[in-house]
Amino acid sequence: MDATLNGHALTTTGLVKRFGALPAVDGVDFCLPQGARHALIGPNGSGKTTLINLLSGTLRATAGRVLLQGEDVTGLPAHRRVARGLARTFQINTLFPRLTPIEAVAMAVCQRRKLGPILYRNMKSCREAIDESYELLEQMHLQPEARRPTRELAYGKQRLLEIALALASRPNVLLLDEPAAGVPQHESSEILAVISELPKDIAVLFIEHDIDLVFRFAERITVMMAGKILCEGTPSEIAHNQDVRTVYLGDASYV
Amino acid sequence: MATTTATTPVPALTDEASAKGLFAERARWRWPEVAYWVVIVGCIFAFPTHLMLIAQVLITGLFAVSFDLLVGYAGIASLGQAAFFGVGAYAAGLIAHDGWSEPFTGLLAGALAAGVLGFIFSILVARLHGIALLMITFGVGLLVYEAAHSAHGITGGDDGLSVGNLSPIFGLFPFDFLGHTAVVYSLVVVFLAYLFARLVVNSPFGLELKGIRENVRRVPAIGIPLGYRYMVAFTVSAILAGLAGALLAQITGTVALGFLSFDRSSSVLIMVILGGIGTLFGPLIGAGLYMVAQDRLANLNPVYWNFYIGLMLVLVVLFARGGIVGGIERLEGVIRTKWTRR
Repeated sequence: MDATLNGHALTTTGLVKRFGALPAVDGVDFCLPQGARHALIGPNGSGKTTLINLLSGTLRATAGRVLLQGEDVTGLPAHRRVARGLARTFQINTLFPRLTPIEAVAMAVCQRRKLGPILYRNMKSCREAIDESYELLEQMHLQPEARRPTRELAYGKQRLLEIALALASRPNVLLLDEPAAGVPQHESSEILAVISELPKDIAVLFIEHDIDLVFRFAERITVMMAGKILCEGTPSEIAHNQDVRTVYLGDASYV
Repeated sequence: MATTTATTPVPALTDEASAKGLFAERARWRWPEVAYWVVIVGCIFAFPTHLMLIAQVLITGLFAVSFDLLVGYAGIASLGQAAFFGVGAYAAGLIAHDGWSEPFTGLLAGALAAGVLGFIFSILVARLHGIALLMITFGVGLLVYEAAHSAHGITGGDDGLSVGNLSPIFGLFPFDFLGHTAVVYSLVVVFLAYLFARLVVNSPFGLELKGIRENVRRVPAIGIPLGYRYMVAFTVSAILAGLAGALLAQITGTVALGFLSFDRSSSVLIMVILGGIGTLFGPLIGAGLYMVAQDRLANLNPVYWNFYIGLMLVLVVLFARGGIVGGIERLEGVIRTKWTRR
């Protein structure tokens, strides 16, 4: 069994999350191959974000397992999963309002470089970490804003900083929770460019409501519905799937 | 010097140099920070009859710095900081009381005892925030106070603990009645402790503390183990508070229950807010002003002096956000814009 799992960056088996009696995620078996570009779609409340939270360790699963590179990480807290190469962004900006982008990214870079516990060394002498942080900001086109407090940044720029923070941990699995949500049209192209330029060896799983965007980037799509996986396939398979049409066009027979 | 404008402070530099230089700028000594130490040394020469007050200003400053590390940098609100101060004081006091009169060992004992208590604290509060955190730190503060109160045989309870005579520092400088030795001793110890606190806040660890303050829920998602960071933050803060308590016990020759009191925990919060939370040197200045104000106001009106402290606090919070340091920075901003318009 393990031989089949080894090919995958991330696998879940029978994953369940209940809030009280309500199953938000209800028995999800899911595979993310290495270097995948995989979209997770579904109506509001279908459990997409809960699934991401279970994968990243933000929430603990009620039942089931999460395997990262074939190893069971179900019991590991979020920060340990980051150390093993799993990074995520959040749907709503959850950044560090009064820190500047260079500081926020340097914090994540220092943590990865195991400088985080060091309290007897001046930050300014951590040259390599600072250089690496700046390179990441350049990659995200954030260098003009590097010194401004995060709360003053345009929304689109904050979304880019979210991605920069996730990349600072050098992940091999990246979970993006609605990376372009709420960003005005003229700023979203920059985010799309950044996402499409992500290194091919990173497996990317993203939640997105913008169907154009999903069909542009995803190699495979999983559709969720009421905590379960409704179907999975290539974009064209999904586009022609009758169930998915029913869900999205609001068939009266489904309530 | 390069031309400067209000919007972009350093336009002469490239984005890259200016961004990378931010960390060096953050670690730079500010002029009010330098001024504080100059004024303190100046006061030692100018007011030779007030040396004990100056030493207490320094010690209270260190206590405020220890609290700022917790509340201003890590964003951990606490109402029990006096527990660390008091335990440090009792440890140093007891060691001297029992006959070991070498002063540096006493400091070490105080710092160590407080550090152990801080470590225990950190385990208790590991997953708490906000009101719950305030309540448990308040509660533990009371527990420690009453423990010392009831352990009359060890601490002297209400009667306090007499530290007894300390042997001369390095065997050369005896503690004198006027406080010459005490003030220099305090100055050196507090300055060294301050340098250490400065190192901590400008380190990668210090940066992570700011991250925790800004968004405690977000930091695990970038790989930071919250529990361990809390542990170290509490322990370091407690060590510095314990050091301050030990110093005060040594130079005043007594430890009283007041060292552990809630009053001390709450007044240190006032000092930190007054001086400028999360700036390290702000609380140092805030503690000094608070002590001097308390001294003056108590002379003015021995019964109702807390009225003025309250008034000061209200005014600072309403009109001078960021305290004294915030005020100074705004003033600098205004002067800079006027200067460049000319």
